[in-house]
Amino acid sequence: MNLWQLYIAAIVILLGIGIYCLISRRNLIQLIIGVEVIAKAVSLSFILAGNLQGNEQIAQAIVVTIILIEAVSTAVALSLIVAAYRHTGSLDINILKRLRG
Amino acid sequence: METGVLLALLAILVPIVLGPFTYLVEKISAKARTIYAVALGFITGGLTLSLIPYITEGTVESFMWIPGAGRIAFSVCLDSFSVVVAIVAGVIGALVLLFSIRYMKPASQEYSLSRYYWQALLFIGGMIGLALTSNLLVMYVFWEIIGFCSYALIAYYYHKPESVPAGIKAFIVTRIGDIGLLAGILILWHATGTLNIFEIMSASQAGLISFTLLGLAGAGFLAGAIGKSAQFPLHVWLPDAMAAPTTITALIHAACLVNAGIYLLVRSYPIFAALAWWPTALLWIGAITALMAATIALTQWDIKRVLAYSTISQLGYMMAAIGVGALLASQFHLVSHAIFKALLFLGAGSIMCMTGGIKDLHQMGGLAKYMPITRITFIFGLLSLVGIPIWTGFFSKDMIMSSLLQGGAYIPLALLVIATFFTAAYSWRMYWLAFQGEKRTSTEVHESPPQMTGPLIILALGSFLFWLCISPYTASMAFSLPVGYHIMPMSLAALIQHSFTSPIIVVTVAIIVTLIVLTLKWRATVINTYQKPSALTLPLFRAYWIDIFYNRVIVKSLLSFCQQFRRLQTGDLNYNNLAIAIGLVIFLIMLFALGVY
Repeated sequence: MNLWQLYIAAIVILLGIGIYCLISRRNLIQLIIGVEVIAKAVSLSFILAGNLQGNEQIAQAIVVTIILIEAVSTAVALSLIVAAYRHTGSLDINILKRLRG
Repeated sequence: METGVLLALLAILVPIVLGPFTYLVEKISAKARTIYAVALGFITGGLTLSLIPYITEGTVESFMWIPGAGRIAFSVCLDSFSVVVAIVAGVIGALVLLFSIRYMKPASQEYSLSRYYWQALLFIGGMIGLALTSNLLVMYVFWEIIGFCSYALIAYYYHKPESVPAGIKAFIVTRIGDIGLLAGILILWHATGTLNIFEIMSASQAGLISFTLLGLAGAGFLAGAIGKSAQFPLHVWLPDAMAAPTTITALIHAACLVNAGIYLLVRSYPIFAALAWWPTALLWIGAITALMAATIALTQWDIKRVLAYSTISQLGYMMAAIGVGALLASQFHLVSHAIFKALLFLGAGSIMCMTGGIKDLHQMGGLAKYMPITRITFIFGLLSLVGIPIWTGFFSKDMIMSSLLQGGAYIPLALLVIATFFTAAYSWRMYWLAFQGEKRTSTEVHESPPQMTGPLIILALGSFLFWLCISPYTASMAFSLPVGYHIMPMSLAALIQHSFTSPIIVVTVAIIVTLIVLTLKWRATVINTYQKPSALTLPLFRAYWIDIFYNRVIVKSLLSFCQQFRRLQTGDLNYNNLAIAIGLVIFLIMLFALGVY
């Protein structure tokens, strides 16, 4: 088995865990964690693709950008969760479905 | 880095990067914030003016801002087209910001002026960026920036019921065109492997692009320009955009937004000139729009709506000029229109500000005595709009119509001539209703303060004198533009001789006679007209029911179609995620089935 196949397996496993988390959980914090896990799978796939193409600098630049954007989006999401918690007194996602969007 | 490139980058970055700091400066005081924003506007205007000595041919410098993606280089081009459009945006933008100091004061009670100033600066910076780059994808990014700014600024008074829908309408209608433009850019990229407009141009002239792809891309560019420059059938957003503050309307109509479409078409003309139908489509769309909008303007009662339809009509002239390949005439009229339309809108803003927000022509009247400077400058703008010698509008409009005559486009020319008469009629009517006759409003009116009349006077002088610059203007175009644009230098004497000896002078004389007859005979009837629109004028008053048609047919059917899918929206996030995951699996299966691996 090649090394890159191991990487692929890791990506698929991370992605699967993240998607399973998004499908099965109702807690807002747990959903954020799921999104983060998926983002990690994406970063890893960029690194792998960069390595396979021999183009590591671009891959690293993109991954650093992804990490930055992730941090920003997580901060925004967490602040929204705090606001929602103050508003509803619960972390359950189903309480927020009044708009049925 | 060369000085010219540095100045160009500064002109783009100063308003875009330093604009948001208005929020920080506001912490010091509201006055400091206003001074900061207006100063930024003037620095930008000065920077665009300082580009004049650096006008040169082709792409000056390309910045590789994404490593490995060399095609999406930020390439700066400083030829005469781009620099002139940037100057129009920068200088008129600065004057509009100066005018805003007093005009926007009443709004500060309810709305954030920091938001107003940074969005206006972003708008100006976006337009300068659009003008100064020769990379199509970068140009498209700036195109979207000004699209966003127009939405945000039209919806600026978000407490008023008509503002937010008008903003959304402007955004969605122009978006229909934008999709076409993006598709056109991608098709050209696919066909030539480059995004630099000059390289695409030489590829097209060498016949390297197949006619099918060129036709598709040309249709896309045409759609984009029709949306942005408010031509028939996508003109419906512009009259509604009057919900914006009047200063912003002046920006949209004169400096920034609507010029973008014309500029794009002028820029890309040599690419698509090989297609036979492309210039013809431009010619006809322009001529029909010019006539249609001029007739509508004759019957409107809102002074800003009259001016809005007038803008649509004048853009039609520019479009028609591109259609016969008269790029110089089109650009000349773009500049002269930018000056006089900014003047007219700011004049209307001056009236509205001093009468407490009246924009209905029914309620104006008799303002000549109270607002002498506004009146004189407004007359200057109207004379340029109508095309009376020796205002700039006369020379630019004459150049467009005589090039149509030379190009043998007789029916579009006839439409434009009729539109010119309507232009004279609605300008005359607007002036008499607003400034002459009895004073019909009970508010006390007096002349605007100097920070409002100052820009008006500068623009009035510009609309009167700009044609004197024709010789250096055309000379810089002739040496800085590739041969495909067919621009010859023209001296001042040649311009005067050309304008006064072409057959179009007959039209001008007829218009002057018409105006005199109107003033002597029909003055009283028009000023005292309050009656409802008759059967003849109702279609004009209702703008040919185009808006209502779009609403009833397209919007309604789309909404009812979308309603069918409403039940899919359960609001349960887990189900939605499950659906996304299933979609992903199906996509992967399709990839394997198609044998991508």
